[in-house]
Amino acid sequence: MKGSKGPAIPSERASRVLLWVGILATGAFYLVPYLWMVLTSLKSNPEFYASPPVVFPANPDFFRYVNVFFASNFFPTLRNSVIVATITTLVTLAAVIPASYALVRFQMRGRTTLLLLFLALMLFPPISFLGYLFTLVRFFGVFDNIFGVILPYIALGIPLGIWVLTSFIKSVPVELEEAALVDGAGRFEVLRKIVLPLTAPGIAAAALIIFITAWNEFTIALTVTLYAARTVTIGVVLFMGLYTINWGELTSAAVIASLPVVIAAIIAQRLIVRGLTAGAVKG
Amino acid sequence: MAKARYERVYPYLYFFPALFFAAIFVLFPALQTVYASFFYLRVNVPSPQNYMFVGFENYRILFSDQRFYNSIMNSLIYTLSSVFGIFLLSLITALVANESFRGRTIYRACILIPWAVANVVASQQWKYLYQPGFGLVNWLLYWLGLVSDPNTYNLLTHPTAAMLGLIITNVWKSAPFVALILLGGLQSIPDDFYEAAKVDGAGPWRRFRSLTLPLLVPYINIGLLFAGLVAGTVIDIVYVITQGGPGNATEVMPLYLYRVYFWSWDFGVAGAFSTFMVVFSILTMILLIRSLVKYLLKA
Amino acid sequence: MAEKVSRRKYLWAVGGVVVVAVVAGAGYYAYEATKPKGPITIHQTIHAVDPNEQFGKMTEKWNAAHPNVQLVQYKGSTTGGAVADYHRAQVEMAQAKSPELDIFNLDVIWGAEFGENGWAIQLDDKFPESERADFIPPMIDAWTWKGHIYAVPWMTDIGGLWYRKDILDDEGIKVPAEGWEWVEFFGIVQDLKKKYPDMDGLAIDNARSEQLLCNWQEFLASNGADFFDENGLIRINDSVAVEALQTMVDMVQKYKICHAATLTGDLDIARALFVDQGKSLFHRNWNYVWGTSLSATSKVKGKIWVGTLPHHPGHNSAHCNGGWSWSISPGSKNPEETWEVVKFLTSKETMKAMMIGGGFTQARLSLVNDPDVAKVVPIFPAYVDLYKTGTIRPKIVQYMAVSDIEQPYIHAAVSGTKSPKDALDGFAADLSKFLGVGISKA
Repeated sequence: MKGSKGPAIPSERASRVLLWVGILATGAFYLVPYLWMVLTSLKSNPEFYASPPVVFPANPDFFRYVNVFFASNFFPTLRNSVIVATITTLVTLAAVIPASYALVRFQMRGRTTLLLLFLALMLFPPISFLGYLFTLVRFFGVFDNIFGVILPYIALGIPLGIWVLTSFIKSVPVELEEAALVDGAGRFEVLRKIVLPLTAPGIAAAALIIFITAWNEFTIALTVTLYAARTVTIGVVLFMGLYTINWGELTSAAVIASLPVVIAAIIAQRLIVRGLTAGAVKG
Repeated sequence: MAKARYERVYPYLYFFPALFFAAIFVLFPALQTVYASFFYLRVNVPSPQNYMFVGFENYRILFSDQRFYNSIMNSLIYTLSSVFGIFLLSLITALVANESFRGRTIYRACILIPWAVANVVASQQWKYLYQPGFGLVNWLLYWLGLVSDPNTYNLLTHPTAAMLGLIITNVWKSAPFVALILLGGLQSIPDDFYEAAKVDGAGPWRRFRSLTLPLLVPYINIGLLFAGLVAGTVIDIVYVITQGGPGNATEVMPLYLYRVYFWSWDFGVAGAFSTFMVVFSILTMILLIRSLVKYLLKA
Repeated sequence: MAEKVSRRKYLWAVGGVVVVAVVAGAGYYAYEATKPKGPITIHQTIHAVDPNEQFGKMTEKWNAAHPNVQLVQYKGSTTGGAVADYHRAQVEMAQAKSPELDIFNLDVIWGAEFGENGWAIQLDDKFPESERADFIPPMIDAWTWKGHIYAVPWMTDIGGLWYRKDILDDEGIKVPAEGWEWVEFFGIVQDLKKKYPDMDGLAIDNARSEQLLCNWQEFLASNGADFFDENGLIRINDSVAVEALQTMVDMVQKYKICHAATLTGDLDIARALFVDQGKSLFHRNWNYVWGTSLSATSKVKGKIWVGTLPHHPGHNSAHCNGGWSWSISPGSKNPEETWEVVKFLTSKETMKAMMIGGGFTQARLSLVNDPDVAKVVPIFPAYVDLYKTGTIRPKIVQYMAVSDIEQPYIHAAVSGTKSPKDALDGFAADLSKFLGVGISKA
């Protein structure tokens, strides 16, 4: 859709106005709570509880970001999260890509059962697992260990990844693969050389989803760690104590923790959109 | 002959790693949960009755609990309203993001922001926004003329308003993800389709209803499935903002489940509760699943 | 042919990865086992916020003096002030008899539970009666279960009525030693609010949490009401209890002396209103308020003091006793060394240093009249005195479950969505069902 020329038909012009209303309304809705958090991170007492609310801090405290970033109970959690989220994403993708491909292309007995099983597993409230997960993780000797966090996250990410990838793989025309098979290529080669490049946007989407889930997850990480393997979300929440809340530090930490995800999302999002527009062949 | 057997097993090899992880860390605890529902277990009481088989006693206790039914009702209201709100907001967002306009990249970045912030952190921020006196929302309502005194009106102490507040936060948090899925769906509709429709004289609304919407249905299904799943099983938003209050007016099923597990430490009844929740979720989503699976398996 | 080749390559690749992983894993564990044994490390959990880094300083002191027994403290996470999360984490560790955590940080309300389940080591011989006498009695009592003591108290929390001394002095009002009567108190607050229109009356944290129940306990006990009668039957819905809840509800709904956000805000909000904003005349809270009032961001430095909470006619005031204690894990690999650490942290010298340094309020009685402490925390004697007219929440093994059943009812009443009678009747019925105990007919 090109939009540089103004629309001539009244209904088109009306829809243009509607578009801008939509842009501003939804954009503001998404942005304002986050902006408020950023502004709060620069405020100081008593601005946090001022009524009417203070929008711009009188003396913005930028140094707080530096203090928080290097805080002894925050920086290690940042580092842990980077490792955890990255490894989780890579391993989950490695497991999920062949599985999704098999689900879509192979005539397996029990295909529907497997699909439904994955869905049913997702329907289990994660809260039920906490107690058993604690025991499991200790059993494998990975309590308060990065792998103790990664392993449950992989299990969490697999149903997600399968559901995202199956729809993308479906959109790859079967004819391309069949042509390659006839030419004598092995199934695995077909997967590698034909399907993978065409589903790259789907893989990027799955990678993004898994990464964000692993980065932001809280309850499971809290259950399987003590202090050494804590992830960044726990690090942020630690600025809230039982008796006092450090609002400035809390919001600064939250902003810092959200930045990698925002950047990752923006980059991956462009990949996904570009890939989709390029690869769409329907009808 | 060995080759034929291998051919049959071969596809399952593709599945093996995924199945392995899922089996150990998800399937096994899930089975343990269901198994536990038939036994008596109070983790913090060293009673000789612990680990005794009690058949359906835990289910009987659960089904005679008024608070349990209260949580089901709250869950239904919360989940269905959230899914509806998410559907509307994500659809509008995706349609907007699909158009070309100046600043589209910035807009697309804005969409991703709620998704980028962790649940507990975002909920803490929204809780702060909902408070009277220093919370932005009250002053917005005051400015709109809906509230007479932003210092004394506390929406979180009114059951309906509190539920609405939670739903809005949930919509804010989940709509971006669904919008992204829908955007992908929109992008996969070729421009020629729209051109052809325009040539045929179809206005924007007609184009949307008869062309866009039907083609988006599978994407909508997936998106809302995820949204419903999250709304139905994740407690972070309710836990942080109202803790289920005022009283129990916003206590949803997973929140009460958490309390049965880790306040009452009754793992038997909690197991029954978990099993019930899964069956309940499966039943309520069975229509959606069926159509989705049919679409996915169309070979 | 190409099919067979790539399939075989795939299988070899998978096999190779598995073999490498197993060998690497085995090698790692073998290496770990042969590493020379270093110093013993004792792990301890502490509160997430460490005022004036006193814990950090004490840990440094210990580690410098004990190169072979190193102390590592880590902060417990509470997901925004929810004591239940801290409880869950520690119960899981205790139940699994974990060796990873040696020193637990426990609330008084968990005394019966941890004692009954053997989740803490009995300290009878290490912590004899003579030693216990120097600690705040209700806390020792909370941790004595079936004749054994399971933890050493370190931080004392006693509910008190904080007030703006400067304003009350100006008005010539003095908080009586035996406390006002509740309704009298509400009247005084309303009169003051007329003179100081931009001030709130009483800042009290009434969000749906354990804190709410501490507040409620003070209304309850100051009317002579209780959970159970002398026969062990439930009497939480008798007339005196309903009266007490009505007073609490009236405070919020009828006299309207509380800021609206204290019904739903975070645990810190009442204190923030009182100290950081300086916008409240009175404040009900524990003693950490004093320390925060001295900070740079406080608007009430030197302007506040603590007094007796109000009571109902014909009864004494009741100050809720809370606080935190150290216990030793049943799975600790080094219980003797761990005890040495606990002894160090609860010694008079360490506790005195922590208080002078601006840390949490320590639980030793002999520090109350110590002149050095009095210089930094002059309020200490007045504050600790309050424990004498104290009250405690029920000391039962399943207190957390009771708390979970109780909170929605009390919060509904205070929020105005349920009448006090309905709330307490409902609570009594649920409590009876849960505990299998009858309701008193009186």
